[in-house]
Amino acid sequence: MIKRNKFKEKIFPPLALFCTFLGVILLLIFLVNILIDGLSRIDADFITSLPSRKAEKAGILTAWTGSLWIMIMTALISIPIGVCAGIYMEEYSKKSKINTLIEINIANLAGVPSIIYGLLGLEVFGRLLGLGNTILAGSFTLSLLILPIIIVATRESIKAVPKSIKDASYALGATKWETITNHVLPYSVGGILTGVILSISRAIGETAPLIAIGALAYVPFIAQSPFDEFTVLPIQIFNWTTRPQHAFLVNAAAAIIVLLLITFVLNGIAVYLRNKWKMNLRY
Amino acid sequence: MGQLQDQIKDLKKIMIHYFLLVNGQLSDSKKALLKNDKELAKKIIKTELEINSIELQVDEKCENILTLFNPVAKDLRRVLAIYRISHELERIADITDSIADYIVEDSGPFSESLMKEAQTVKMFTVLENMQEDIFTAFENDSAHDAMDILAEDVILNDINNRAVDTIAEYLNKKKHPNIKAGFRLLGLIKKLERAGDHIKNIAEEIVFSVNADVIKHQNKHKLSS
Amino acid sequence: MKPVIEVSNLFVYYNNKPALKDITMSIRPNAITALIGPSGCGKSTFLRVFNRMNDFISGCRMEGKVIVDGSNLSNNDIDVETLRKNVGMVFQKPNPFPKSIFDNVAYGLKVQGFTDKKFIEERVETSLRQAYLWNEVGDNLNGSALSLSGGQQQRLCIARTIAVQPKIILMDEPTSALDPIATAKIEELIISLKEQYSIVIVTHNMQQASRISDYTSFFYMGDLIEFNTTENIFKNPQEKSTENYITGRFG
Repeated sequence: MIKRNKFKEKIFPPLALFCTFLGVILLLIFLVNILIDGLSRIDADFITSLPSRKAEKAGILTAWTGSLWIMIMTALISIPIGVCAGIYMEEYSKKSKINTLIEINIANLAGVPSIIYGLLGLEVFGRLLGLGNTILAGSFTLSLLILPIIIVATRESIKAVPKSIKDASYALGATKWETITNHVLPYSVGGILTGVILSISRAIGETAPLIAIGALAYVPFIAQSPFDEFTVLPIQIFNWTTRPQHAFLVNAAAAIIVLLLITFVLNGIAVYLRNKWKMNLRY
Repeated sequence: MGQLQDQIKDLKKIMIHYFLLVNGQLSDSKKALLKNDKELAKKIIKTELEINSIELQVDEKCENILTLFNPVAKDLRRVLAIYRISHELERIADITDSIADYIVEDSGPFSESLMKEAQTVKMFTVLENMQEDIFTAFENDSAHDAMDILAEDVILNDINNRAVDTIAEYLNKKKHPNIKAGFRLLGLIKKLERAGDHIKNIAEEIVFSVNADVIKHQNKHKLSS
Repeated sequence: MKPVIEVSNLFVYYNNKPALKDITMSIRPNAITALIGPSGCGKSTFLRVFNRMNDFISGCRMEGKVIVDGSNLSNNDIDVETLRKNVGMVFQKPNPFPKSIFDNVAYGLKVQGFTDKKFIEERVETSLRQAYLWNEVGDNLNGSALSLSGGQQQRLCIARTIAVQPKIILMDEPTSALDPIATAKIEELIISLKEQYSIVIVTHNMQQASRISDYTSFFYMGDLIEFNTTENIFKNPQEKSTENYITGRFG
């Protein structure tokens, strides 16, 4: 009997495990570091204080309210447009050269560096439409950024609806719209929602495009309307890390923890929803 | 459950009617022969037409069932058995029909004493018993009842085997022997023996249908033990 | 008896390649017509002509005259949704909606615009009874349709189809994904439906065609080779290719 060389068979699993954990370990090291640096700084004052030139007094109030504004406005703008575009492209448009071109371009847009969106936003929304450096301008810009992601997520979710379900609906005399609202959307809403939440989560972390359109680094007031100037958490963090005083670095670490927390929570909701959606398909 | 079973049920119904008709033909032919009843003979000939049409009907129904329903196992054996039984019944009917023909052609009645000597009437009686038994066997899907008639068939064979000698003896004793009548009677006896054979074949088909046992062409002595 | 579907010189092309060539035949009402033939012969394409489901296949084009229950399908003004309410379809793999049993059967009624709750409930019950499914699910209409067995799911799909009371039911190999017992139950069901509906069934199972259909048509490579009563096709086919196919001598 010939003895097979099972070396490759034996060595791969531990190797793959190591690679897996490498990423996790590095992340853990980072997290632990941040926590050590910034956890003690987080308290009610920190969260409810305006920024200040004195590190001990500085807080993230305007930053996280700004982020909240941006998040909500971006969602309101990008979700309807993105979902409808996704539905249209998947269900209504016919295969043609133009449509294929549009498809390719939209997919490519997802990979465009975010600073480019910032510059685009500055010119179109900030200057041409005269929105300046308001929350509205920032939301429009970020919407453009995450629109391709939402469109792709919508399309993928709709693609996952089995053709057999749609066939059954059409065969009973339902119109395209009835089929979409009764079957396609309910079936794909989980996937769409997951994609939406993940893209919003990404939008919250964007710094470059907002800086490009002129979001301020030092905003000592809470924005009251979409037409106000603003700042967001990432910018606040960036601002603090450029200061020489160590206290500001601590602030930055604390703000990073808050930002990470928000990101983890949002992603967690997305994962939970995705699992629940998968269960729903079994009904 | 299902169309195939319904079809087989219908087929069996037709066969029961078929059996009864043929059995009736045999009793009638016995009566007609003994009484030289020409009217009854004509009735027998008329009924023969109905029997022919039933045979065609059964043929077609069996073909349809085999074609359209692909029966297997018990169902297949049943249909095959019925297909063959139908032909056996038809041949029995042919025999009674030829007896009726004979009476209508007015070749004259058989001599009673000759018939008695050759045990012709007994043959009829045995045949009637066999028919009753085989009908029961078919109706009840009973291989056991079917096997019973095998012993009765032996009686017919016996009488047939002795017929030549018996008739020759009888004629030799006469001063003016009616040779023609002797031949005619011999012919009749052979026909009746063949009728018994047909019933025996039917019995074999029933055993095949019920038990998947093929008993035809087996040693007859083995069977009667 | 006036035919319920009349086809004259029908051609169907996929990207200009002919899938069906010059088909002329009629479908009798209240009878089961089987379409048989080897894979790729066009029988499923033919079936989908009758409820315009071929419209969903890009590059598919139809020529010729097809009259379904009085409506001419080549007429572009025809209301496809109304056609599909009148011509139902049951698919090869059972495809119940991931909803409750009740919602599945009621969906067609909902789409037709019925809102009377009582009416819908009665219709759902009638349809489930007709589909021989009521005894098994009647006490649990809110249960998930996906929790049923394959055979039950297919009967549910049939109930869903007959709930809108179409005139014609098209069946595309409805039992090929099911086990023999489920198949037998559904064949019995199809035969019982003959009383009220006209049925056209595509099947690659010849024994099924011979068991349940009244008429059979044999398709080969896009041509209609032979169309006759099932008895004649199986006992005494006129065309050599028909005989070769049903006796298994093909290829």
